[in-house]
Amino acid sequence: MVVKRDKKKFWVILNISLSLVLLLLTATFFGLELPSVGEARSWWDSKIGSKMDQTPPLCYVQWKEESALLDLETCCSQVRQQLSCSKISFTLDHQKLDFLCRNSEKNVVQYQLNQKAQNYCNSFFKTR
Amino acid sequence: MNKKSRKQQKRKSEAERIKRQKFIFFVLLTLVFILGSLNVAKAKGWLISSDPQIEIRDNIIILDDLTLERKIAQMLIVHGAPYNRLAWQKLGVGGIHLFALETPELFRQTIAEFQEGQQIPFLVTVDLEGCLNPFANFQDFPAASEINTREEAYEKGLSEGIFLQDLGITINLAPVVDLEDNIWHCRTFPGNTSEVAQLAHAYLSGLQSSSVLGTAKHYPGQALALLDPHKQLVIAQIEENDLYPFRYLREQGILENMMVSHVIVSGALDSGSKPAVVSAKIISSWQENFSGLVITDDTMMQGLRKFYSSPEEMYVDLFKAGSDLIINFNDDPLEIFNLIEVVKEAVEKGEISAERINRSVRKILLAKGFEVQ
Repeated sequence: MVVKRDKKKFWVILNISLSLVLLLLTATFFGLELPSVGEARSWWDSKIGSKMDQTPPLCYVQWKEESALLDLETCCSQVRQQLSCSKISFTLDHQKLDFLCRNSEKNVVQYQLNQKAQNYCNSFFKTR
Repeated sequence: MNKKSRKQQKRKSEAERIKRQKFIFFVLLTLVFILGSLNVAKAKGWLISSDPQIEIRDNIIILDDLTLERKIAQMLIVHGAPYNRLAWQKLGVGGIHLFALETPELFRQTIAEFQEGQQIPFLVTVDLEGCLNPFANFQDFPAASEINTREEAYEKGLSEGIFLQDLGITINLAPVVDLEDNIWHCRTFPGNTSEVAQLAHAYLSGLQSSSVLGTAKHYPGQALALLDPHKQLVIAQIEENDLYPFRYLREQGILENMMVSHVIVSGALDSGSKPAVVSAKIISSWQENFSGLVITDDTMMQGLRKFYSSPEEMYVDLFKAGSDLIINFNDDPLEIFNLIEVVKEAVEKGEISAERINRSVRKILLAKGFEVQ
């Protein structure tokens, strides 16, 4: 009897969970927007995260020997168009950078980002 | 005996309840599966219905045969991501922009797949400009900053044109004729305003001697000024010198396309405290003496988006301002679908004139090689 009652509970819990999933899927299908994780992250960054991690998002563009700090919007838009981004840790101007994005291994324009800048770009669109 | 039968009864009803729960579970599971699939189909744009085929006889398109949605879609350039191919084909967008790929074969294959079965082919655009080279994995070109003579500029344009035509690309979003590039240091031609104009002219002569069209950018200049990394809006003081290369190329009759930037400008040209790309004053004054296409910079940029409280408001303003082709690299087909619906509604309400849409679509179809009636 106890086993049967547990079995019943199991099915009820399963059905309630599925009903919730169904509710979310219906809402999504009809275009009801729910707060995204991205927004939660930006809230976290502005309220709490910034107190814990003071590193600014950094993105440098380099062509031959010239390099310049790039604004994040332009950086993300350009990084998205690159052939590949590889995780390579290195230092530039005493700043730790984590990603190198470029179209070729030859001497071309390349973008160097730290983890925070990469996360920011990824929150808009998946970089490659 | 009575007790036993009650127990049996209870056990039976318990079993029935479990059976009922199991039944509900399978119904719910089926619904989750169906709705999940519908959500995926919706996100991928599979639920977007295709526009009816139009009759194209002797390469002539009758403008009125196109639905309003199709006309608005023709004014869009989107990111030509293969995973969105079906959605872009169904929506009938005007052009696709390609980012870097590994090999020339991949470029050819991607373009061929997009163009397959299209009544009105896509314009295919790339950013082979200055020192930005999406083909760098297999093909080098000199940077604009390394070009010093008209001959070198012509040669650069010629070789790029032949190369792009061979891949199936129709528009190159180059050359940059901003006078300064304080960020990359390689995207602009060297020299003063007159020299930049001359080099750009020679580059366009070379490029357009094949069937690839060039695009002077970023009107009205100062788009590559160093921007505070924490700010998104660029505000610039424009001088006559900034405007000269654009006007020179237009007067010489060599300019096929012009790209307008998100910079808020004042001085020799005033965008009225809003980004140039949504300034009807700036775009219409340029178009008075220009029969080519006016193209926007990527409208996904926050520099433009932050100027509006909603994307819908921005979409209407972009179309109202008068550009012929709107670049939007949003990878969500539903957002592009939403853009089309919003603009369609604005046209139906009379906020945007239907004649203004027709004018742009006519130019786009002409650029695609059709005759338009």
